[in-house]
Amino acid sequence: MRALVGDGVARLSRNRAFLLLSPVVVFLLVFFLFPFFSLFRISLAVNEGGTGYGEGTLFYEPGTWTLDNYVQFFSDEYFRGMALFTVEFGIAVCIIATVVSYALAYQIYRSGPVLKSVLLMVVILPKFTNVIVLMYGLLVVFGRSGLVNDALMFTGVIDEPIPMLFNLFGVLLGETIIVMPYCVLVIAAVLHSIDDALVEAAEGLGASRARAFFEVTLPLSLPAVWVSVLLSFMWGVGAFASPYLLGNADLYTLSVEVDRQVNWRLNWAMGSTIAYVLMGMILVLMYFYSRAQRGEAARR
Amino acid sequence: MNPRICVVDLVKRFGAVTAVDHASFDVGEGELVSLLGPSGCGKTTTLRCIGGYETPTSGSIEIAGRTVNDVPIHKREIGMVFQNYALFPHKTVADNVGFALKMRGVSKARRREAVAEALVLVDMEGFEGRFPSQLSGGQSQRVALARAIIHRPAVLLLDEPLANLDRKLRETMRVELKLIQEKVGISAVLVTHDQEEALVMSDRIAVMEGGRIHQLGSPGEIYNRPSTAFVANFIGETNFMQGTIVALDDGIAGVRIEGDLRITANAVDGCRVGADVGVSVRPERIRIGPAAPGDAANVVAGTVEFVTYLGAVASYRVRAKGGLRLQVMKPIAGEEAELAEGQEVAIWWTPEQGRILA
Repeated sequence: MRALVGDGVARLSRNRAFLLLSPVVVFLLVFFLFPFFSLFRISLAVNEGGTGYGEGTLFYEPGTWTLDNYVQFFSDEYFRGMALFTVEFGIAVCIIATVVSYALAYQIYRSGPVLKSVLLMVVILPKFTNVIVLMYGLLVVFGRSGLVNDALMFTGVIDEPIPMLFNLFGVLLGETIIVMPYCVLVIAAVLHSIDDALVEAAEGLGASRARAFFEVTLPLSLPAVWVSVLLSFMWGVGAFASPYLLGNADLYTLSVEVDRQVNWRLNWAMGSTIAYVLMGMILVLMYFYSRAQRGEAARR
Repeated sequence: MNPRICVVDLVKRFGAVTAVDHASFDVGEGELVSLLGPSGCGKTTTLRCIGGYETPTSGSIEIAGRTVNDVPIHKREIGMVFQNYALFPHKTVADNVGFALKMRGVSKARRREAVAEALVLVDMEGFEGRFPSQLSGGQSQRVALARAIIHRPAVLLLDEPLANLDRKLRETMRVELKLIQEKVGISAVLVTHDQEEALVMSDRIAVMEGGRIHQLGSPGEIYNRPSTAFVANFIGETNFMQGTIVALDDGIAGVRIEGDLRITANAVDGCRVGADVGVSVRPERIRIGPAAPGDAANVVAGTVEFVTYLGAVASYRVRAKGGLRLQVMKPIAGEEAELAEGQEVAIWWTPEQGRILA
C-alpha cells in the first residue's frame, strides 16, 4: 500500500517536473522544430526554375516531392567545391583558434591576479559588441589604411600596404576572433582546475618547466582542447559573417550561399538543400569525432 | 658525519609578512627531522624553500654539500611527498612511480625493474597498471612515497604526508613510513602539525612558531626539557605556572607562585633571584594521593574537581587551596579511577620534574 502511494507520488512529481519543462518544449516545437521540418520539406520540393519558390509550400501535395535539389547540389562542381572549401575552412579555423586560444589561456593561467583579469576582459570584450560591428572594426585595424598597415608603412618596414582583408587571411582572422573567446574560456577554466601540486611534483621529480607542461599540464587539459576543437570547428564550418564581410566570392562558405540562394535568388528550395547538406556534413564529422573521443576515453 | 641538508639563517617574507624568520637547522645522513608547529608557523614555507618552490628572501640552503639557492627545482635531486599525494591522475601507478627515472632518461626496461622494486618496498606490488583514481588514500600514500624515493634523491621532503588519512591508518603509516625511510637510509624533512606524529617519526624535532624555530632537539629533549613556554604547551599537556624566583640554592630554585604557594624546581641557566619565570610540570610527573609521604617536596593540598576516565589512565583536575588548577595523570590499576570528585587530596612532585622557562 505504501509502495503504491509512493509510486503515485513519484509519478506525480515526474509529471510535475515535466510541467516545468513544458514552456521550453512548446517554444522549441514552435520556433525550432516546426521551421526545421518545414525547411526540410522545402528542400525536397520541386524547384521550378529557381525563383520565388518555397514560402508557403504545403507540407503535403502529391507530385511536388523530389530529390532533384540534392542531386543538383552534388552534381554541380560549384557547390561541391564550396562544400569542400567550407570543411577546409572549418578545419583551418579549428586549428588556428584552438592553438591561439590555448596559448592565450595558458598565459591567463600563469598570470598574476591583475594581469589575469585584464586579459580575461580583453578576451570577453569583443563579445560585448555585435558581430557585424566587430568585423567592420577589423577594417579599421587591418584595412588598406588601417592601424597595422599605417604603422608598418610609417616605420618603413613595407612600402605598399599589405592586403590583409578580403582574402583568406582576413576571413580566417575574423572567424578566429569570433570563436576564440569561447575556446579561451573553456581551456582557461580547465587549466585553472589542474592542481598546482601536480606540476610542482613533476618539477620536483626532475622535469623542467617545459617537460612538466608536456607531461602533466597538456595531457590534463586535453578534454578542454577537445571541446575547443569541436566548438571552433562547428563555428568555422557554419561561418557566415566573416566570409561575407571580410572575404570575396571565392571565399564564400555554404552558409553565405544559403543566404544568397534564399534572399537574393529567392530559391528557397536550393537554400534549404544547402542548409541540410551542411548539417549532414557536420553530423557525419561529429560522429567520427565522438567515436575518436570514445576511443580516447576507453584507453584511460 | 656531514649533514645532508643545511639551512642557514633562512628568511622568507611575503610582502609585509615574515613567514620564516632566521631559521637554521641541519639534517644528518639518514636522519629524519620534523618541522612541527601550528598552521601558519612557517614550516611548510621552510620545506618549500628547501624544495625550490619558494625563493628565500635571505639565507642559504645546502643539499648534499651544494648550495642550491640558485638551482632550479628539477635539478635539486629532491623527492617530495605532497599532502594530497599529487599523483598524476592520467598516468598509471607504474608511470607515476617511474616518472623521475623517465625524466632522467632511464630506459623502459630498467624503469620497469626499478618500479617493481620500489612498489615491493612500499608493499604495493601488482598495482602497476592501476590509475590513481582506483587507489585508496593509504595506497595513494604508498605510491607517492615510492615515486619520491625511486631516484634515490639526496633528500626526502614530506609535507604533512599523513594528514589526509583516517586516524587508525595514520598511526600504522607513521611507523611504516619511518621504517621505509630508515631502510632506504634517506635524509628526510617532515612537516607536520601533529605532535604525536613528530614524536613517533622524528630523530629530531624543530618546533616552530611565528616563523622562528623555538627548539631543535630529540623527541625526548623536546618533551622533557622544553626551552620555551610555547614548546612546553605545544608538545603534550603541561601545567604552566607563573611565578617569581625567590631563592636560589645549590641548583634548586625556589619559586613563589601566585600568592602563597612556593615550589622548587631545578634551576636553569639565567636564573636569578627576582626574575619572573614560568614553571612547567607534566601531568604524569605529578603524584596524587589522599596524603603525601613525609619526605615529599612541592606538596600542594587541594580538591579533586573533575575526573576524566581515559581507560589506561585517569586525568584529575585538582583545585589547590590558593585557587590554582593543576592537571594530574595517574595510571589506573583497577577498573575505576581511584579518586573521586570532591575528594580532598595532596599532590606532589620532585624538583627535577619542574621545568623553569624564562
